[in-house]
Amino acid sequence: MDIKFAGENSLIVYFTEQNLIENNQFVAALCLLLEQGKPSWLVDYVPSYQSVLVNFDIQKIDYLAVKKWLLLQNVAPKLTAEESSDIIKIPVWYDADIDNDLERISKLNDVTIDEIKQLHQSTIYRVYAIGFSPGFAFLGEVPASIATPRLSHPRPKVPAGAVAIADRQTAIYPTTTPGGWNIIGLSPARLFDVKHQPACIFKVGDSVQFFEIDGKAYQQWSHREG
Amino acid sequence: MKGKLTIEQSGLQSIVVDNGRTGQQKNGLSPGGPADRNAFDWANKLCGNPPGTATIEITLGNFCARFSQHAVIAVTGANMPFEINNQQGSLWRSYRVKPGDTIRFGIASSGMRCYLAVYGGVLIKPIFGSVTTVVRDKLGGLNGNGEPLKVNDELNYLAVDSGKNWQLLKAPPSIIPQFSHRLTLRFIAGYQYQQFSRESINRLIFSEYRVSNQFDRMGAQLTGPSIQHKNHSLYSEGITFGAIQIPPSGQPIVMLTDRQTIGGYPKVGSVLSLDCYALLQARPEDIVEFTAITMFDAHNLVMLEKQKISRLDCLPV
Repeated sequence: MDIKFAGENSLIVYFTEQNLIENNQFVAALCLLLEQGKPSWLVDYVPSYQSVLVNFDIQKIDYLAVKKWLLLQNVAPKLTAEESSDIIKIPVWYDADIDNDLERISKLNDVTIDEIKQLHQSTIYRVYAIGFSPGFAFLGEVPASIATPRLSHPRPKVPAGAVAIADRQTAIYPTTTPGGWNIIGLSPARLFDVKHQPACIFKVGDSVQFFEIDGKAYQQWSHREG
Repeated sequence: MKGKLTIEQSGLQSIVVDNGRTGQQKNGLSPGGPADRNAFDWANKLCGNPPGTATIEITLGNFCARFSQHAVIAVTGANMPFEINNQQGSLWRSYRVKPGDTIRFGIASSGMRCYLAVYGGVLIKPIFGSVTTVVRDKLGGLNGNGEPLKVNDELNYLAVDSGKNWQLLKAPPSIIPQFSHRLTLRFIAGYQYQQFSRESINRLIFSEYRVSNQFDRMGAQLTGPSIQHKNHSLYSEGITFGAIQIPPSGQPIVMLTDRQTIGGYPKVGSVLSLDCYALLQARPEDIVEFTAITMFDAHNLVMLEKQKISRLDCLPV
Protein backbone atom coordinates (compact mmCIF):
# COMPACT_ATOMS: atom_id res chain seq x y z
CA MET A 1 0.00 0.00 0.00
CA ASP A 2 1.41 3.33 -1.04
CA ILE A 3 -0.40 6.41 0.30
CA LYS A 4 0.11 9.78 -1.34
CA PHE A 5 -1.35 13.26 -1.00
CA ALA A 6 -4.08 14.00 -3.51
CA GLY A 7 -5.29 17.37 -2.21
CA GLU A 8 -5.91 19.41 0.94
CA ASN A 9 -8.67 17.02 2.02
CA SER A 10 -7.75 13.81 0.27
CA LEU A 11 -5.25 10.98 0.19
CA ILE A 12 -4.90 8.42 -2.57
CA VAL A 13 -4.11 4.81 -1.73
CA TYR A 14 -2.25 2.89 -4.45
CA PHE A 15 -1.96 -0.88 -4.28
CA THR A 16 1.33 -2.26 -5.53
CA GLU A 17 0.81 -6.01 -5.88
CA GLN A 18 2.00 -8.20 -8.74
CA ASN A 19 -0.81 -7.62 -11.21
CA LEU A 20 -3.87 -5.52 -11.96
CA ILE A 21 -6.44 -8.10 -10.85
CA GLU A 22 -4.80 -8.45 -7.46
CA ASN A 23 -4.60 -4.68 -7.04
CA ASN A 24 -8.24 -4.33 -7.97
CA GLN A 25 -9.16 -7.02 -5.41
CA PHE A 26 -7.44 -4.90 -2.76
CA VAL A 27 -9.35 -1.85 -4.02
CA ALA A 28 -12.69 -3.67 -3.63
CA ALA A 29 -11.65 -4.89 -0.16
CA LEU A 30 -10.72 -1.38 1.04
CA CYS A 31 -14.04 -0.02 -0.30
CA LEU A 32 -15.88 -2.66 1.73
CA LEU A 33 -14.00 -1.56 4.86
CA LEU A 34 -14.89 2.09 4.18
CA GLU A 35 -18.55 1.20 3.60
CA GLN A 36 -18.74 -0.96 6.72
CA GLY A 37 -16.58 1.16 9.00
CA LYS A 38 -18.27 4.43 7.95
CA PRO A 39 -15.63 6.58 9.69
CA SER A 40 -17.25 9.88 10.72
CA TRP A 41 -14.62 11.91 8.85
CA LEU A 42 -15.24 10.19 5.51
CA VAL A 43 -16.79 12.55 2.95
CA ASP A 44 -16.47 10.47 -0.21
CA TYR A 45 -14.23 7.89 -1.87
CA VAL A 46 -13.43 7.02 -5.46
CA PRO A 47 -12.26 3.50 -6.29
CA SER A 48 -10.57 2.80 -9.59
CA TYR A 49 -8.26 0.21 -11.22
CA GLN A 50 -5.58 0.10 -8.54
CA SER A 51 -6.26 3.07 -6.31
CA VAL A 52 -8.81 4.51 -3.91
CA LEU A 53 -9.12 8.27 -3.46
CA VAL A 54 -10.27 9.06 0.09
CA ASN A 55 -11.88 12.44 0.78
CA PHE A 56 -12.01 13.48 4.43
CA ASP A 57 -13.49 16.35 6.44
CA ILE A 58 -10.57 18.48 7.62
CA GLN A 59 -12.76 20.00 10.31
CA LYS A 60 -12.91 16.56 11.91
CA ILE A 61 -9.52 15.01 11.26
CA ASP A 62 -6.07 15.69 9.78
CA TYR A 63 -4.35 13.64 7.10
CA LEU A 64 -1.99 11.96 9.57
CA ALA A 65 -4.90 10.37 11.42
CA VAL A 66 -6.53 9.31 8.15
CA LYS A 67 -3.27 7.75 7.04
CA LYS A 68 -2.99 5.92 10.33
CA TRP A 69 -6.56 4.64 10.00
CA LEU A 70 -5.80 3.35 6.50
CA LEU A 71 -2.55 1.68 7.57
CA LEU A 72 -4.28 -0.06 10.47
CA GLN A 73 -6.95 -1.64 8.25
CA ASN A 74 -6.57 -5.29 7.49
CA VAL A 75 -7.27 -5.07 3.77
CA ALA A 76 -7.92 -8.71 2.89
CA PRO A 77 -8.98 -9.26 -0.71
CA LYS A 78 -11.43 -12.02 -1.55
CA LEU A 79 -9.17 -14.22 -3.67
CA THR A 80 -11.54 -17.13 -4.26
CA ALA A 81 -13.30 -17.46 -7.59
CA GLU A 82 -16.71 -15.81 -7.67
CA GLU A 83 -19.75 -18.08 -7.41
CA SER A 84 -21.68 -18.19 -10.66
CA SER A 85 -24.75 -16.78 -8.90
CA ASP A 86 -22.76 -13.63 -8.15
CA ILE A 87 -22.19 -12.94 -11.83
CA ILE A 88 -24.30 -10.04 -13.08
CA LYS A 89 -25.78 -11.12 -16.44
CA ILE A 90 -26.27 -8.39 -19.00
CA PRO A 91 -28.37 -8.99 -22.16
CA VAL A 92 -27.07 -7.64 -25.47
CA TRP A 93 -28.86 -7.35 -28.80
CA TYR A 94 -25.80 -7.56 -31.05
CA ASP A 95 -27.86 -7.26 -34.23
CA ALA A 96 -29.53 -4.02 -33.16
CA ASP A 97 -30.11 -1.62 -36.01
CA ILE A 98 -27.82 1.14 -34.75
CA ASP A 99 -24.65 2.72 -36.07
CA ASN A 100 -22.04 0.14 -35.01
CA ASP A 101 -18.40 -0.86 -35.47
CA LEU A 102 -18.69 -4.62 -35.90
CA GLU A 103 -17.26 -4.40 -39.44
CA ARG A 104 -14.32 -2.33 -38.21
CA ILE A 105 -13.52 -4.77 -35.39
CA SER A 106 -13.89 -7.68 -37.81
CA LYS A 107 -11.47 -6.13 -40.33
CA LEU A 108 -8.87 -4.94 -37.82
CA ASN A 109 -8.71 -8.30 -36.03
CA ASP A 110 -9.49 -10.67 -38.91
CA VAL A 111 -12.41 -12.29 -37.09
CA THR A 112 -16.00 -12.82 -38.22
CA ILE A 113 -18.89 -10.90 -36.67
CA ASP A 114 -20.19 -14.17 -35.20
CA GLU A 115 -16.81 -14.75 -33.58
CA ILE A 116 -16.88 -11.24 -32.09
CA LYS A 117 -20.27 -11.98 -30.49
CA GLN A 118 -19.09 -15.36 -29.19
CA LEU A 119 -15.81 -14.04 -27.80
CA HIS A 120 -17.51 -11.07 -26.17
CA GLN A 121 -19.97 -13.37 -24.36
CA SER A 122 -17.43 -16.04 -23.45
CA THR A 123 -15.54 -13.93 -20.92
CA ILE A 124 -16.44 -13.18 -17.31
CA TYR A 125 -15.45 -9.55 -16.85
CA ARG A 126 -14.44 -7.66 -13.75
CA VAL A 127 -15.67 -4.14 -12.95
CA TYR A 128 -12.35 -2.31 -12.62
CA ALA A 129 -13.68 1.21 -12.27
CA ILE A 130 -16.85 3.31 -12.54
CA GLY A 131 -16.70 6.84 -13.92
CA PHE A 132 -16.79 8.97 -17.08
CA SER A 133 -20.54 9.39 -16.51
CA PRO A 134 -22.93 8.14 -13.80
CA GLY A 135 -22.95 4.33 -13.82
CA PHE A 136 -20.38 3.90 -16.62
CA ALA A 137 -18.47 0.73 -15.64
CA PHE A 138 -15.08 -0.17 -17.15
CA LEU A 139 -15.13 -3.96 -17.62
CA GLY A 140 -12.06 -6.02 -18.41
CA GLU A 141 -10.50 -7.74 -20.02
CA VAL A 142 -11.83 -8.32 -23.51
CA PRO A 143 -10.15 -11.25 -25.35
CA ALA A 144 -7.06 -9.92 -27.14
CA SER A 145 -8.42 -11.24 -30.46
CA ILE A 146 -11.21 -8.61 -30.48
CA ALA A 147 -9.42 -5.76 -28.64
CA THR A 148 -9.81 -2.64 -30.80
CA PRO A 149 -8.48 0.89 -30.35
CA ARG A 150 -10.88 3.81 -29.82
CA LEU A 151 -12.32 5.58 -32.86
CA SER A 152 -10.16 8.44 -34.08
CA HIS A 153 -13.31 10.58 -34.32
CA PRO A 154 -15.63 10.03 -31.37
CA ARG A 155 -19.35 9.99 -32.11
CA PRO A 156 -21.14 13.12 -30.86
CA LYS A 157 -23.96 10.90 -29.62
CA VAL A 158 -23.78 7.30 -28.45
CA PRO A 159 -27.23 5.98 -27.47
CA ALA A 160 -27.97 4.88 -23.91
CA GLY A 161 -27.51 1.11 -23.66
CA ALA A 162 -24.81 0.90 -26.36
CA VAL A 163 -22.35 -1.92 -25.61
CA ALA A 164 -18.87 -1.06 -26.78
CA ILE A 165 -15.19 -2.04 -26.81
CA ALA A 166 -12.07 0.10 -26.37
CA ASP A 167 -8.75 -1.74 -26.34
CA ARG A 168 -9.24 -4.57 -23.87
CA GLN A 169 -12.15 -2.95 -22.08
CA THR A 170 -15.87 -3.17 -22.65
CA ALA A 171 -18.70 -1.07 -21.26
CA ILE A 172 -22.37 -0.21 -21.55
CA TYR A 173 -23.17 3.51 -22.00
CA PRO A 174 -25.73 4.25 -19.23
CA THR A 175 -26.89 7.52 -20.80
CA THR A 176 -26.69 9.12 -24.22
CA THR A 177 -23.30 10.86 -24.33
CA PRO A 178 -20.51 11.54 -26.82
CA GLY A 179 -18.18 8.54 -27.06
CA GLY A 180 -15.26 7.05 -28.94
CA TRP A 181 -15.64 3.35 -28.14
CA ASN A 182 -16.43 0.73 -30.81
CA ILE A 183 -20.14 -0.07 -30.62
CA ILE A 184 -21.09 -3.76 -30.91
CA GLY A 185 -24.70 -3.88 -29.69
CA LEU A 186 -27.48 -2.54 -27.54
CA SER A 187 -28.49 -3.58 -24.02
CA PRO A 188 -31.91 -2.94 -22.46
CA ALA A 189 -30.46 -3.22 -18.92
CA ARG A 190 -30.98 -0.18 -16.73
CA LEU A 191 -27.54 0.48 -15.22
CA PHE A 192 -28.15 3.62 -13.25
CA ASP A 193 -31.37 4.82 -11.70
CA VAL A 194 -31.58 7.52 -9.03
CA LYS A 195 -34.80 5.94 -7.74
CA HIS A 196 -33.06 2.64 -6.98
CA GLN A 197 -30.95 1.74 -3.99
CA PRO A 198 -28.15 1.20 -4.84
CA ALA A 199 -28.44 3.55 -7.80
CA CYS A 200 -25.82 1.71 -9.84
CA ILE A 201 -26.14 -2.04 -10.47
CA PHE A 202 -22.34 -2.42 -10.48
CA LYS A 203 -19.63 -1.78 -7.96
CA VAL A 204 -15.88 -2.11 -8.38
CA GLY A 205 -14.87 -5.77 -8.13
CA ASP A 206 -18.19 -7.22 -9.40
CA SER A 207 -18.25 -9.98 -12.04
CA VAL A 208 -20.21 -9.42 -15.23
CA GLN A 209 -21.09 -11.59 -18.23
CA PHE A 210 -22.98 -10.74 -21.39
CA PHE A 211 -25.56 -12.94 -23.16
CA GLU A 212 -27.18 -12.51 -26.54
CA ILE A 213 -30.85 -11.62 -27.02
CA ASP A 214 -32.87 -10.86 -30.15
CA GLY A 215 -34.91 -7.80 -31.05
CA LYS A 216 -38.13 -9.20 -29.60
CA ALA A 217 -36.48 -10.00 -26.26
CA TYR A 218 -34.91 -6.53 -26.32
CA GLN A 219 -38.35 -4.93 -26.61
CA GLN A 220 -39.71 -7.05 -23.74
CA TRP A 221 -36.73 -6.22 -21.50
CA SER A 222 -36.95 -2.52 -22.31
CA HIS A 223 -40.64 -2.55 -21.47
CA ARG A 224 -40.02 -4.31 -18.14
CA GLU A 225 -37.13 -2.02 -17.19
CA GLY A 226 -39.36 0.97 -17.95
CA MET B 1 -46.56 29.97 3.35
CA LYS B 2 -44.66 29.43 0.15
CA GLY B 3 -43.59 32.06 -2.31
CA LYS B 4 -42.71 31.56 -5.95
CA LEU B 5 -39.71 32.99 -7.70
CA THR B 6 -40.51 33.17 -11.40
CA ILE B 7 -37.58 33.30 -13.81
CA GLU B 8 -38.08 36.04 -16.41
CA GLN B 9 -34.60 35.97 -17.93
CA SER B 10 -32.22 33.05 -17.41
CA GLY B 11 -28.92 34.57 -18.56
CA LEU B 12 -25.91 32.60 -19.83
CA GLN B 13 -26.28 29.90 -17.20
CA SER B 14 -28.14 30.08 -13.92
CA ILE B 15 -28.32 26.99 -11.76
CA VAL B 16 -29.46 25.90 -8.32
CA VAL B 17 -26.58 24.85 -6.05
CA ASP B 18 -26.14 23.67 -2.48
CA ASN B 19 -23.19 22.02 -0.72
CA GLY B 20 -22.90 19.40 -3.46
CA ARG B 21 -23.69 15.73 -3.91
CA THR B 22 -21.26 13.74 -1.81
CA GLY B 23 -21.02 9.99 -1.32
CA GLN B 24 -21.81 9.08 -4.93
CA GLN B 25 -18.44 9.54 -6.62
CA LYS B 26 -18.03 5.75 -6.46
CA ASN B 27 -20.92 5.60 -8.96
CA GLY B 28 -19.37 8.21 -11.23
CA LEU B 29 -21.41 11.20 -10.00
CA SER B 30 -19.64 14.52 -9.94
CA PRO B 31 -20.03 16.21 -6.55
CA GLY B 32 -20.82 19.62 -8.08
CA GLY B 33 -21.69 22.46 -5.71
CA PRO B 34 -21.07 26.20 -5.70
CA ALA B 35 -18.17 27.35 -7.89
CA ASP B 36 -17.21 30.05 -5.39
CA ARG B 37 -17.99 28.52 -2.04
CA ASN B 38 -16.95 31.60 -0.08
CA ALA B 39 -19.41 33.86 -1.85
CA PHE B 40 -22.07 31.14 -1.57
CA ASP B 41 -21.51 30.78 2.20
CA TRP B 42 -21.71 34.53 2.77
CA ALA B 43 -24.92 34.82 0.74
CA ASN B 44 -26.55 32.27 3.04
CA LYS B 45 -25.12 33.84 6.17
CA LEU B 46 -26.51 37.26 5.18
CA CYS B 47 -29.99 35.69 4.84
CA GLY B 48 -29.69 33.89 8.17
CA ASN B 49 -29.61 30.50 6.45
CA PRO B 50 -27.69 27.48 7.70
CA PRO B 51 -24.52 26.74 5.67
CA GLY B 52 -25.19 24.83 2.47
CA THR B 53 -28.73 26.13 1.89
CA ALA B 54 -29.79 25.99 -1.79
CA THR B 55 -29.20 29.23 -3.69
CA ILE B 56 -29.05 30.33 -7.33
CA GLU B 57 -25.65 30.64 -9.01
CA ILE B 58 -25.76 33.21 -11.83
CA THR B 59 -22.96 33.12 -14.40
CA LEU B 60 -22.01 36.43 -16.03
CA GLY B 61 -25.47 37.99 -15.58
CA ASN B 62 -28.60 38.92 -17.55
CA PHE B 63 -30.77 37.14 -15.04
CA CYS B 64 -34.17 38.43 -13.99
CA ALA B 65 -36.75 36.98 -11.59
CA ARG B 66 -39.97 38.05 -9.82
CA PHE B 67 -40.97 37.30 -6.22
CA SER B 68 -44.60 36.40 -5.46
CA GLN B 69 -44.29 36.83 -1.68
CA HIS B 70 -42.28 38.66 0.96
CA ALA B 71 -38.70 37.43 1.13
CA VAL B 72 -35.27 38.27 2.50
CA ILE B 73 -32.53 37.99 -0.10
CA ALA B 74 -28.81 38.64 -0.54
CA VAL B 75 -26.43 38.73 -3.50
CA THR B 76 -22.68 38.01 -3.25
CA GLY B 77 -19.84 37.18 -5.62
CA ALA B 78 -18.86 38.76 -8.94
CA ASN B 79 -19.24 42.51 -9.49
CA MET B 80 -22.55 42.10 -11.26
CA PRO B 81 -24.81 45.15 -11.22
CA PHE B 82 -28.40 44.48 -10.17
CA GLU B 83 -31.60 46.36 -9.53
CA ILE B 84 -34.55 45.59 -7.32
CA ASN B 85 -37.56 47.29 -8.95
CA ASN B 86 -35.24 49.59 -10.93
CA GLN B 87 -33.41 50.63 -7.74
CA GLN B 88 -29.72 49.83 -7.87
CA GLY B 89 -28.75 47.18 -5.31
CA SER B 90 -25.49 46.49 -3.47
CA LEU B 91 -23.68 43.20 -3.27
CA TRP B 92 -22.78 41.62 0.08
CA ARG B 93 -25.90 42.77 1.95
CA SER B 94 -29.45 41.57 2.52
CA TYR B 95 -32.70 43.12 1.27
CA ARG B 96 -36.38 42.66 1.89
CA VAL B 97 -38.56 42.20 -1.14
CA LYS B 98 -42.35 42.42 -1.42
CA PRO B 99 -44.83 40.49 -3.57
CA GLY B 100 -44.35 41.46 -7.22
CA ASP B 101 -40.81 42.79 -6.75
CA THR B 102 -38.36 42.05 -9.53
CA ILE B 103 -34.59 41.55 -9.34
CA ARG B 104 -32.69 42.19 -12.57
CA PHE B 105 -28.97 41.59 -13.15
CA GLY B 106 -26.72 43.23 -15.74
CA ILE B 107 -23.38 41.85 -16.92
CA ALA B 108 -20.55 41.36 -14.42
CA SER B 109 -17.70 43.86 -14.82
CA SER B 110 -15.30 41.57 -12.95
CA GLY B 111 -15.64 38.06 -11.59
CA MET B 112 -17.93 35.51 -13.22
CA ARG B 113 -20.52 34.22 -10.76
CA CYS B 114 -22.99 35.62 -8.25
CA TYR B 115 -25.08 33.89 -5.61
CA LEU B 116 -28.68 34.92 -5.06
CA ALA B 117 -29.75 33.52 -1.69
CA VAL B 118 -33.29 33.61 -0.33
CA TYR B 119 -34.17 33.19 3.35
CA GLY B 120 -35.08 29.51 3.85
CA GLY B 121 -33.47 28.55 0.55
CA VAL B 122 -34.87 27.42 -2.76
CA LEU B 123 -37.17 24.46 -2.05
CA ILE B 124 -36.51 21.50 -4.35
CA LYS B 125 -36.57 17.75 -3.76
CA PRO B 126 -32.97 16.57 -3.38
CA ILE B 127 -31.37 13.69 -5.28
CA PHE B 128 -28.83 11.79 -3.18
CA GLY B 129 -29.15 14.47 -0.52
CA SER B 130 -28.49 17.41 -2.83
CA VAL B 131 -30.34 19.71 -5.22
CA THR B 132 -27.09 20.81 -6.91
CA THR B 133 -27.36 21.04 -10.69
CA VAL B 134 -24.70 19.08 -12.57
CA VAL B 135 -25.42 19.66 -16.24
CA ARG B 136 -23.04 16.99 -17.56
CA ASP B 137 -24.47 14.33 -15.19
CA LYS B 138 -28.05 15.37 -16.11
CA LEU B 139 -28.81 15.50 -12.38
CA GLY B 140 -30.24 18.02 -9.93
CA GLY B 141 -31.90 21.39 -10.31
CA LEU B 142 -35.60 22.25 -10.49
CA ASN B 143 -36.70 19.17 -12.44
CA GLY B 144 -33.92 16.87 -11.23
CA ASN B 145 -32.55 16.44 -14.76
CA GLY B 146 -29.57 18.78 -14.57
CA GLU B 147 -31.11 21.52 -16.71
CA PRO B 148 -30.12 25.09 -15.90
CA LEU B 149 -32.98 27.46 -15.03
CA LYS B 150 -35.06 28.68 -17.94
CA VAL B 151 -37.63 31.39 -18.54
CA ASN B 152 -40.96 30.76 -16.71
CA ASP B 153 -39.44 28.26 -14.28
CA GLU B 154 -40.96 28.70 -10.83
CA LEU B 155 -38.88 28.08 -7.73
CA ASN B 156 -40.58 27.71 -4.35
CA TYR B 157 -39.26 29.48 -1.29
CA LEU B 158 -40.38 30.15 2.25
CA ALA B 159 -42.31 33.43 2.39
CA VAL B 160 -41.38 35.64 5.35
CA ASP B 161 -44.02 37.17 7.60
CA SER B 162 -44.82 40.63 6.22
CA GLY B 163 -45.32 42.07 9.72
CA LYS B 164 -42.07 40.78 11.14
CA ASN B 165 -39.22 43.19 11.62
CA TRP B 166 -35.97 41.99 10.03
CA GLN B 167 -32.54 43.31 10.79
CA LEU B 168 -30.93 43.61 7.38
CA LEU B 169 -27.24 42.80 7.32
CA LYS B 170 -24.08 43.52 5.38
CA ALA B 171 -20.85 41.51 5.25
CA PRO B 172 -17.75 42.86 7.04
CA PRO B 173 -15.71 44.80 4.43
CA SER B 174 -12.60 42.70 5.13
CA ILE B 175 -14.09 39.60 3.48
CA ILE B 176 -15.16 41.27 0.24
CA PRO B 177 -12.83 40.00 -2.50
CA GLN B 178 -11.00 42.13 -5.03
CA PHE B 179 -10.99 40.49 -8.44
CA SER B 180 -7.70 40.67 -10.28
CA HIS B 181 -6.53 39.50 -13.70
CA ARG B 182 -3.55 37.84 -12.00
CA LEU B 183 -4.01 34.91 -9.69
CA THR B 184 -1.67 32.80 -7.61
CA LEU B 185 -2.71 29.19 -7.37
CA ARG B 186 -1.25 27.60 -4.24
CA PHE B 187 -1.00 23.83 -4.65
CA ILE B 188 -0.16 20.76 -2.61
CA ALA B 189 2.29 18.42 -4.34
CA GLY B 190 0.73 14.98 -4.71
CA TYR B 191 -0.34 12.13 -6.99
CA GLN B 192 2.50 11.58 -9.55
CA TYR B 193 4.50 14.63 -8.39
CA GLN B 194 7.64 12.57 -7.80
CA GLN B 195 7.57 11.21 -11.35
CA PHE B 196 7.96 14.69 -12.87
CA SER B 197 11.49 15.94 -13.47
CA ARG B 198 12.80 18.81 -11.41
CA GLU B 199 12.95 20.82 -14.61
CA SER B 200 9.24 20.26 -15.27
CA ILE B 201 8.24 21.24 -11.74
CA ASN B 202 10.43 24.35 -11.91
CA ARG B 203 8.86 25.29 -15.21
CA LEU B 204 5.39 24.96 -13.70
CA ILE B 205 6.30 27.10 -10.68
CA PHE B 206 8.37 29.78 -12.43
CA SER B 207 6.16 30.33 -15.49
CA GLU B 208 3.03 32.30 -16.15
CA TYR B 209 0.00 30.55 -17.56
CA ARG B 210 -3.08 31.97 -19.16
CA VAL B 211 -6.66 30.83 -18.65
CA SER B 212 -7.86 29.59 -22.06
CA ASN B 213 -11.38 29.61 -23.51
CA GLN B 214 -11.79 25.98 -22.51
CA PHE B 215 -12.87 26.92 -19.06
CA ASP B 216 -16.07 26.05 -17.25
CA ARG B 217 -17.28 24.56 -13.97
CA MET B 218 -15.69 21.26 -14.93
CA GLY B 219 -12.14 22.53 -15.34
CA ALA B 220 -9.77 25.21 -16.56
CA GLN B 221 -7.41 24.50 -19.43
CA LEU B 222 -4.34 26.73 -19.06
CA THR B 223 -1.87 27.66 -21.77
CA GLY B 224 1.84 28.33 -21.30
CA PRO B 225 5.16 26.49 -21.20
CA SER B 226 4.54 22.77 -21.55
CA ILE B 227 5.22 20.33 -18.76
CA GLN B 228 6.64 16.97 -19.77
CA HIS B 229 5.86 13.61 -18.24
CA LYS B 230 7.29 10.27 -19.33
CA ASN B 231 4.17 8.24 -18.78
CA HIS B 232 0.92 9.50 -20.24
CA SER B 233 -1.16 6.36 -19.90
CA LEU B 234 -1.80 5.73 -16.26
CA TYR B 235 -4.65 3.62 -15.02
CA SER B 236 -7.54 5.98 -14.39
CA GLU B 237 -7.75 7.15 -10.78
CA GLY B 238 -9.90 9.39 -8.59
CA ILE B 239 -9.67 13.12 -9.34
CA THR B 240 -9.97 15.48 -6.40
CA PHE B 241 -11.04 19.15 -6.43
CA GLY B 242 -8.27 21.31 -7.88
CA ALA B 243 -6.22 18.41 -9.30
CA ILE B 244 -3.64 19.68 -11.82
CA GLN B 245 -3.68 17.28 -14.77
CA ILE B 246 -0.90 17.22 -17.33
CA PRO B 247 -2.24 15.78 -20.62
CA PRO B 248 0.12 14.78 -23.47
CA SER B 249 0.09 18.40 -24.75
CA GLY B 250 1.84 19.42 -21.50
CA GLN B 251 -0.70 22.22 -20.94
CA PRO B 252 -2.07 21.97 -17.38
CA ILE B 253 -5.79 21.51 -16.68
CA VAL B 254 -7.11 22.38 -13.23
CA MET B 255 -10.08 20.11 -12.45
CA LEU B 256 -12.90 21.99 -10.75
CA THR B 257 -16.40 21.67 -9.26
CA ASP B 258 -18.15 19.59 -11.96
CA ARG B 259 -15.08 17.47 -12.77
CA GLN B 260 -15.37 13.87 -13.87
CA THR B 261 -14.67 11.45 -11.00
CA ILE B 262 -11.80 9.48 -12.58
CA GLY B 263 -9.19 10.07 -15.25
CA GLY B 264 -5.87 8.79 -16.46
CA TYR B 265 -3.71 11.88 -16.97
CA PRO B 266 -0.73 12.34 -14.62
CA LYS B 267 -1.21 14.98 -11.94
CA VAL B 268 1.37 17.09 -10.09
CA GLY B 269 -0.92 17.81 -7.13
CA SER B 270 -3.98 19.88 -6.35
CA VAL B 271 -4.75 23.58 -6.07
CA LEU B 272 -5.94 24.85 -2.67
CA SER B 273 -9.75 25.01 -2.61
CA LEU B 274 -9.74 28.75 -1.80
CA ASP B 275 -7.69 29.46 -4.92
CA CYS B 276 -9.98 27.23 -7.01
CA TYR B 277 -12.89 29.45 -5.95
CA ALA B 278 -10.90 32.48 -7.11
CA LEU B 279 -10.04 30.71 -10.37
CA LEU B 280 -13.74 30.03 -10.95
CA GLN B 281 -14.29 33.80 -10.77
CA ALA B 282 -11.50 34.39 -13.34
CA ARG B 283 -11.87 34.92 -17.06
CA PRO B 284 -10.14 33.65 -20.19
CA GLU B 285 -6.81 35.49 -20.75
CA ASP B 286 -6.30 36.05 -17.00
CA ILE B 287 -2.80 35.13 -15.84
CA VAL B 288 -2.13 32.48 -13.23
CA GLU B 289 1.01 31.41 -11.41
CA PHE B 290 1.56 28.28 -9.34
CA THR B 291 3.24 28.13 -5.98
CA ALA B 292 3.73 25.03 -3.83
CA ILE B 293 2.55 24.92 -0.23
CA THR B 294 2.63 22.17 2.39
CA MET B 295 -0.37 20.17 3.54
CA PHE B 296 -0.11 21.95 6.93
CA ASP B 297 -0.25 25.37 5.28
CA ALA B 298 -3.27 24.25 3.28
CA HIS B 299 -5.10 23.07 6.40
CA ASN B 300 -4.34 26.30 8.24
CA LEU B 301 -5.52 28.46 5.36
CA VAL B 302 -8.75 26.54 4.87
CA MET B 303 -9.51 26.40 8.61
CA LEU B 304 -8.86 30.13 8.92
CA GLU B 305 -11.36 30.84 6.13
CA LYS B 306 -13.95 28.58 7.74
CA GLN B 307 -13.40 30.40 11.05
CA LYS B 308 -13.99 33.74 9.33
CA ILE B 309 -17.35 32.57 8.03
CA SER B 310 -18.47 31.06 11.31
CA ARG B 311 -17.02 33.69 13.71
CA LEU B 312 -17.20 37.03 11.92
CA ASP B 313 -20.53 38.70 12.46
CA CYS B 314 -22.46 40.46 9.75
CA LEU B 315 -23.02 44.15 10.42
CA PRO B 316 -26.39 45.89 10.60
CA VAL B 317 -27.24 47.86 7.48
